[in-house]
Amino acid sequence: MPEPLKRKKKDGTQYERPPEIEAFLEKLEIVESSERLRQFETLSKTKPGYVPSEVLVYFLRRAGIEGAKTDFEKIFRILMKRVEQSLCSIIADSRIADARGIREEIMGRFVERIAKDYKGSSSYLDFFEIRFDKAFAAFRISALRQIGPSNVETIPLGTDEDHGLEISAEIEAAAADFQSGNSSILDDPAFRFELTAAIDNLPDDQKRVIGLLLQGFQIDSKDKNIMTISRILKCDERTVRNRRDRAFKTLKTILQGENV
Amino acid sequence: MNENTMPSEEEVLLTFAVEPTHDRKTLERYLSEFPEHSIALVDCSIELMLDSTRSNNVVESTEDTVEHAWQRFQAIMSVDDDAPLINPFAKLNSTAFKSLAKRLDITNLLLVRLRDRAIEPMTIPIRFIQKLAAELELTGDAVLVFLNGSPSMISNHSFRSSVKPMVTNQITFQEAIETSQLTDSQKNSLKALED
Repeated sequence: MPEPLKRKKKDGTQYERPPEIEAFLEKLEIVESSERLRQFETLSKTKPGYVPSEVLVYFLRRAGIEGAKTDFEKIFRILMKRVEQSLCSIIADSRIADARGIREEIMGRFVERIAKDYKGSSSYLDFFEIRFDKAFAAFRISALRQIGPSNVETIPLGTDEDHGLEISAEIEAAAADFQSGNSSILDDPAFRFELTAAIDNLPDDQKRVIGLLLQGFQIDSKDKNIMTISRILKCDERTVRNRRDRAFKTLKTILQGENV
Repeated sequence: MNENTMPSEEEVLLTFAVEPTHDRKTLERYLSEFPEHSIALVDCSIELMLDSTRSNNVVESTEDTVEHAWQRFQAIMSVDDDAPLINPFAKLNSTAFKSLAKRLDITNLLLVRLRDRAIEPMTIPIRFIQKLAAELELTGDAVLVFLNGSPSMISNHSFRSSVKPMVTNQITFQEAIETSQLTDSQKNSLKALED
């Protein structure tokens, strides 16, 4: 039986791994170590036989506890390869100045967390046994905020400082359709990928507005009990609309390109 | 999360990240509970949403990055936790850290590199060390001792690598100036301290 997680939730209950991760652990616990390591080597998630990173973290920690140094080093290296791969795709050299330095800094911080866990002074890595990719995304965001978001300047696809924008009715309609999630184009993976890349490249203030709209938040409301974008971002609703409009203008190329 | 202490931003984001769902209601709950981390939570929610639609292309990894990570791990493991360690940056929280960078007119990234002793101490201009020491309310010697303290030769042999243990890669102050996202004006000010 896999060791249960130690970390507790706010309500005092213990965190649990998702059932599919538990199933993986049970299956791999009875496999020879060398065979397990061979299975860990698959890097691409789309390849058959890929073992989730949550499972690697579990066996990394177990190797540490059991003093299996060779296994520990091998799993550590495989995990770091995956981490680097993930960072390279998001903090790409083509998009961010000194991307390599930033990636190394984030990786270094993650290594520190692993070392702390190894020394037995933390249950921190429990998060990474539950949902590795999501936990790592959160870790990355937190690290980038400390390095200084103002210093991590993305290179935009196209900038437009024009404030007096005229957003065509077509774009407004397409955006409204997009926000409501009704548009069939959202089912198209290629479109979604392009749209994600376009949103990714928006300046932070516009990206936050679009991100919150996509999550179903409204810009403003007279009802003080409703959490609106204006209240979350602590800015005037006209500022929010302005940021939204500027974002739409940037995104319109892709929306129009798909003949929405 | 420990109920007796205020969770850090990182801890809040991680707790949010491992929630089974990340819909509007989940985000609203966290925004209400942790208003001090609202922007970080918004950024995290957007990142999680975009992450699910990003491509999963395998990017060619470089062995030296993985090797560097392993060496860093070994270096951390070699530190004796019981030995008294005076880290002048330890007392700084995130805000104080950023504020220090601002006062020194450098980027947070450069300050992070100094904190992590990722810069060869011998290449750091003494005038800059004095400036840093003054801001940290320490003597120049105390800061120099800290900057010289690590990264060090890996002395703990409990983790044997297939490669010879070596000093963790450090860069020169000059290299750090060029790769720490400084403005031209900041670069020139720092270069002037070298004279």
